[in-house]
Amino acid sequence: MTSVPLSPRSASSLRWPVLGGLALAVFLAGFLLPGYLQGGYLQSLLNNGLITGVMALCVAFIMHQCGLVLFGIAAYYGLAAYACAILINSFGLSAMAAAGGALLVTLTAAFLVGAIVIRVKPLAFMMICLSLAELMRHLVALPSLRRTTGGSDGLLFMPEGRVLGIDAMDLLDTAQVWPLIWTATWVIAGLFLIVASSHFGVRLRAIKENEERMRFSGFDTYWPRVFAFTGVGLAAGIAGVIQALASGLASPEMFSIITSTNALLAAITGGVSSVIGPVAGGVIYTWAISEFGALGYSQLFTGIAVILVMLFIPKGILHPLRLLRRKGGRA
Amino acid sequence: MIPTLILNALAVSSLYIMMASGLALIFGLRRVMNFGHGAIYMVGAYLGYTIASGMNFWAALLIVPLLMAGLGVLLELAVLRPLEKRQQIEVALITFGIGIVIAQVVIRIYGGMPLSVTAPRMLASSVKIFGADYPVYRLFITVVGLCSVIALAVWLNTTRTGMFVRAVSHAPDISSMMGINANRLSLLISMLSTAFAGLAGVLVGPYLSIDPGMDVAMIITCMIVVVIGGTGSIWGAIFAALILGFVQTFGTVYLHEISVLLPYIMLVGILVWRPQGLNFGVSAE
Repeated sequence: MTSVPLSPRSASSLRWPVLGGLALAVFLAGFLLPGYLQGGYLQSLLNNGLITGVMALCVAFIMHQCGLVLFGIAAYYGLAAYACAILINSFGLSAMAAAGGALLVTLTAAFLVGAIVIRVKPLAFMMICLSLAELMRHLVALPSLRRTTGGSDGLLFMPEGRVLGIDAMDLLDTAQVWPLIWTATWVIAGLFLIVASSHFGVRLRAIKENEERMRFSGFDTYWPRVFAFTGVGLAAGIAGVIQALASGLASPEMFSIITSTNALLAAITGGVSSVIGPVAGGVIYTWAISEFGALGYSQLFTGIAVILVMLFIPKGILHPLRLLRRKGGRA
Repeated sequence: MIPTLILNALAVSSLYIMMASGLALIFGLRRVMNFGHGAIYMVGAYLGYTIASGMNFWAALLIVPLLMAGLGVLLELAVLRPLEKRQQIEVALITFGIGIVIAQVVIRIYGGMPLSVTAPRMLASSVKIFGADYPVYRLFITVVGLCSVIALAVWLNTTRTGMFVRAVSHAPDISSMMGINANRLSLLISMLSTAFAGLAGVLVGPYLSIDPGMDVAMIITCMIVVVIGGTGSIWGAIFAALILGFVQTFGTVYLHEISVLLPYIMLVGILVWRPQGLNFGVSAE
């Protein structure tokens, strides 16, 4: 029996099942990680890294699909965390109900903000989003709201009940919260991939390329972008709720410019067109900030990283390699 | 009470006007939103503190804007000019990074504690206005701020260079075809913008405290002013700064702590009404 070389077509038809199988294997293997790491620094680093990674995914999605720089993702991340903490502390809700309520609050807020900010020019959009995160930071630190929001110290809370089958108190343990963070990252990345390859994603990118032409062609250019913004706000809210449940704390620092900047940096460095890049970027930046933070240089690091990334790799770290490969292909 | 509040509002507005008009001028010329503008203001305030402590306040008022104009040359030659082909948002983020680095260096040098500058003796007294004592120093801020903006307006509207600045802001390509050297103008505007930020920094010393968070607070306020005024519209920015100063001052008295939220509420309110901002006169976008 002679072996038949694989035709390009059969190779390409094998690509997706192989990639899918590999992704499934990595996803399942991820659940074994806490057994190897046994809690501690590395586990906590990975948890925080993936949370930043999810925010980076959100920034990357809106940047790639809509051409907008969401420089204030911390607003939705922090809002969800505070909403969850307030619903538990002030309304006595169980952790699961509070998480659901917090996501509903974030969804509504993101929709209302999106309906306003989508109408403005990209640069103004960036500045307004940043300003809104600052608004939230001031709002939660108001002395008169101290009983509800905890003021500038942040809001501690003790969650009760179960969240997706895990006891809420167990979520405070870095190893036990890992399955939740890991699954949320995959679900959000998967949903973003599905939306990007759907008709809706194509329409978003077409609006980004030429909004006027799309409008003249009879397409609505406003609501798709509002919905994309809302979805991104909700995804950042999921990261915020998980972070709140994992730490039992919602703090004004969650709204800080540095939180937003790190997510933006992770997204740009990893490449906004990919889903793996921003998540990996989130983990790497979290590690770097933790290392530099120990020396007291975390903000200085962020500043230098912004300059270097925007100067040398504004299209992501893999972009120069892709260009080289394309040139190699042509040659 | 009301006349005092109006004077206070004018003092705050003068600072915002100096900052926002500089930001809008650079945007008009280079289409760059300088996110590092708050850090330049912070450097101005801290340098003002050093010079006022070592020499005197008047020396600081003269030297700091000159030093900051030098920083403007550096900004133009090392950042804005080499990056003029880059996308607007990329350059904005680079200036943001530069701002963080500058602020961190300042904090390393001066530490994280708030500092205060004493007003010179002749401005440290108060005068009676409408039966109430009013600090002379605040009047001085208002006079310096308003005089600078009037000088800017006169320069923009009556001189040949001012006309070129307006022309490049309005139509950069056509101005370039008509032989206007945008690079030379941009250098001048960068110097002017950073000198204004430095001046605002020195003036703020005896009025408010100098602290490590002052750069972020000011750049956020400036962004709100610039967006409300209509990105790139100099007169829009000046008008928005004036309104914001009044809203904040009256808000502090009548709404107390809620007043910190007022600029943001104003921003959202105006954007719902006019997504392009107030946008008086020439807009760059």
